[in-house]
Amino acid sequence: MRNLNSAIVILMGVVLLGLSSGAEAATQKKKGPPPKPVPTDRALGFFGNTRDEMLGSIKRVGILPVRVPLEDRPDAAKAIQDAVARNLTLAHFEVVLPDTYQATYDKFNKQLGGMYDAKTGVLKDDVYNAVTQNALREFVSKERLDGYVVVRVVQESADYAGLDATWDGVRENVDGKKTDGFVSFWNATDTRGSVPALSIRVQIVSAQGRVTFGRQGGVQLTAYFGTVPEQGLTFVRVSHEDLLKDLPRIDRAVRVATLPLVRTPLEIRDGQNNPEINLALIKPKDLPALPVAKTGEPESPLKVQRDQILASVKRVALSPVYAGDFDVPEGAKQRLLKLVPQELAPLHWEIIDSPKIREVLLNKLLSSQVFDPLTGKRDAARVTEIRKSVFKDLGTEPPDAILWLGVESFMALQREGDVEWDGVNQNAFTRGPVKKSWWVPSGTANPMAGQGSIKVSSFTAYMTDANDTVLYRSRGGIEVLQNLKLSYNDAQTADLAPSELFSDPFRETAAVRVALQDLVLTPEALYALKNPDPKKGKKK
Amino acid sequence: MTARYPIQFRRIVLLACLGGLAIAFLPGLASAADPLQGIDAEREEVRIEKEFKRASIADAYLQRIADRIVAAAPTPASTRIRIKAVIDRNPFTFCMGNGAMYVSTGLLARLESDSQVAAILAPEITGALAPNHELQKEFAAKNGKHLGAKLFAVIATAGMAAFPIVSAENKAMMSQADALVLDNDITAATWARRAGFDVAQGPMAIRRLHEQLGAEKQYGYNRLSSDSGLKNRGAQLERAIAALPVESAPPVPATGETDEIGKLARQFSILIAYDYLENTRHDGLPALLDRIELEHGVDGRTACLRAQYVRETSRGAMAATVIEAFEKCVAQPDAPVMNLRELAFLQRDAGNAAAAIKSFEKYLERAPRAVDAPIIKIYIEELRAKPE
Repeated sequence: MRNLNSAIVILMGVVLLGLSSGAEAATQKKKGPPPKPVPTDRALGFFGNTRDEMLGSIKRVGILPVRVPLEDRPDAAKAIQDAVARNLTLAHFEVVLPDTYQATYDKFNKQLGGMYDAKTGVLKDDVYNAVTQNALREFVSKERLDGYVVVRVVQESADYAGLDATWDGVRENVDGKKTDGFVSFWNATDTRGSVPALSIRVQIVSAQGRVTFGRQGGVQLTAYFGTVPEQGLTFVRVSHEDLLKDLPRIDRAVRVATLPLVRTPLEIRDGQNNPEINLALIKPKDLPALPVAKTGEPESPLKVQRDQILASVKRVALSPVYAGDFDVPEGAKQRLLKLVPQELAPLHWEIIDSPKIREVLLNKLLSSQVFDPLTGKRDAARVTEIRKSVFKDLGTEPPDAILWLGVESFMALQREGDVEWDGVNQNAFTRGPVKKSWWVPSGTANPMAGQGSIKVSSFTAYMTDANDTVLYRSRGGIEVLQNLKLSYNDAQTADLAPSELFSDPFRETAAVRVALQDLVLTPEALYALKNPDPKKGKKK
Repeated sequence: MTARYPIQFRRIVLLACLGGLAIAFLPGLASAADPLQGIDAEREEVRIEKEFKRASIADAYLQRIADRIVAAAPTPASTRIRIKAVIDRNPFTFCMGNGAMYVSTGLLARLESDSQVAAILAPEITGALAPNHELQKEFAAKNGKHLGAKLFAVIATAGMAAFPIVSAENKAMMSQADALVLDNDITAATWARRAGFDVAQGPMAIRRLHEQLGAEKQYGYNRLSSDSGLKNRGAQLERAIAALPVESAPPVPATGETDEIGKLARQFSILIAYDYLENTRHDGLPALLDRIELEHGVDGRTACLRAQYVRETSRGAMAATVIEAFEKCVAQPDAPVMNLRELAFLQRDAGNAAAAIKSFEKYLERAPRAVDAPIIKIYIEELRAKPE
């Protein structure tokens, strides 16, 4: 109350003062901006020592293998490593490539019998630490290094306003298009927010194990915010295969990250208008086109023709509902499991409850050591064999298929508080169903919430046959796991309490129905369900 | 991933909302000082459980202290205090309306007696279990008065009146907040004293926190960790003790004091030292280690933490100093065994093969099942094969 009074009083005061003094202020002579201060060593990324101390004490560095959060992308790791080596050489470092480190690492890994658990594929932390720490020691000792360089690609968040997304010293168009000038002005959405992005982090660690320098440079956005046909303004993700393939952008990121090693603080201050120093000045049109984000139709849950499934499957085993780390009450799991035979009833399948099936599969996998202890890679052929063999363990008359059930949580998109995912919807403020209306107050959408990620849960179902062929894979949304709260300039998400979750049987029924509808309904019935006739029900 | 729509729109809506609120709820609002209640408290509990790692080892001890304080309340509490220790180097504690209470290891590490713990926890407990609603309502009613007249004065003076009005309001608000805190602190001190704790330890505990955080150069931002917050809190607790009603139970000597807090404080102080080392907060480490060794004695952990500190802050030419620090560390019978390996590496890098072999062998002797034992054996063989 007191704050409210103060806010109103201040507001009135400021408005009136502003009105009375505005004209006078306009007549005052404009002064040029004062020169920008020289950035401090700390601001440029030097930790626990000055730039001069660091460059004076560390002359010869070894680069550790680059860590990239994408699987099987040695090309990206190599491109980044080359760019880092090039820029460190420019900064007058003597650079040692990670070959000897890698050789020692492989030798020690083998010596200790591998750092992955052959049964579960889980990384054994103690072995990993022993291998990496000793390999690092040997690298520093044998190569007589003053320090080593840790390079990794990290997930970041890029702030954007209008069309401009800026993060870690670079700028991109948030819609992922290569426009500039008038077109970019015309396309600007006048919204602001953040999108996920990738950056390259370069750290220099002294031989004593102390981080002496660390800085990041932005590579590219991993999602765009722009106009999508039939969806309006929304986010679209860039496919993983399209990331970290753009060499000029990789080079730009590494140049940003290593800039204070190559240039002095004074040069950096004075070079703010020089795109060679202030790399945020490089325009998107001067770089290769960004990868196109795919916004096509969602994949069909039917991995094999529906007719084919119906012809070959007559008996189906149901697995228990698996939730992994997601804390789902046992009661909710049982309710979801019970709903499945009801939904599948129109198909007249013989349903066999197999409460032990997951346990059987897990035990077989654990006893078979399907993971390579050195690399952690899974032997896919062996896994397929084991999954096939599970059918034989289900009695004398094995089923035609197994329907594997589960519940998972993940992030979905909220648009003005309304969340639509996996065939269902829910409003994140009221937790009631979404109500759409062109007249804002009568719908559930609240423009103040903007758009953003929100945690949701879904029921999952996938079906495999005796050859381990995936026949069907689908999800049905259960509920939002977070709610939205508005603050002055933001909509904050907060996790719901456990007592608020899995308490709506209607939503659970809908989730199971949606997850199985492509299997249960004929294509015509499904089409009619997804595209209701707008005229139907209206009075003539 | 977020997107927010143009700021102008929000401002219009915000102004409309503010105006609407002012008109609709002028007669008085509930105090914002109340702890979180109901489902909001439950949600906050979920958030905290995710954000912090637990230090369950202190839970039973803290629960005993809290139970004693609650048992001294004049009427039985309707909510049970459920107290949990969480790992964080900053001192803090808070209690929510549903009884969920959290205490940081950063606080426990810097206290030295049960009475100090009780004196710091009690105000949080009474704030959640026995807030003075009457006083809060009285202040809320006062605040709602004369808004129309104030607005008129602001408009009539073209905004000039806004500043003295706001300044006067701020002063009034601060004095009301002080009165609320004092009232709660008095209740807390009364309960704690009745439970057999020495409440005079409260201001001493605050002074201790202030001195230690200052020496470690680690002031934080809340009332139990910031420079000004601690000064203020110390004065608040002293005022509360001075204002304890005469008719309340006379001070009794502290009973049931245990050394449990001493053990916990040592353990959590070591945890903070590791945290400083890992996060390159070298400034605070020597002062912290000095205090641990002064209050709890030198042992393998503190000696080895010192050696690691010397190693990390040393420059290339200080190899001998670092080796000396590690020699002191491994000389302690309870030194963590990996320091022997560290010493061996340092000796090897300094060209002292014989000493390195000896240290590696000692490491293997003390940790024969160490994961890296096969690698260490390779090192020993390589060193032996090297010409003198």
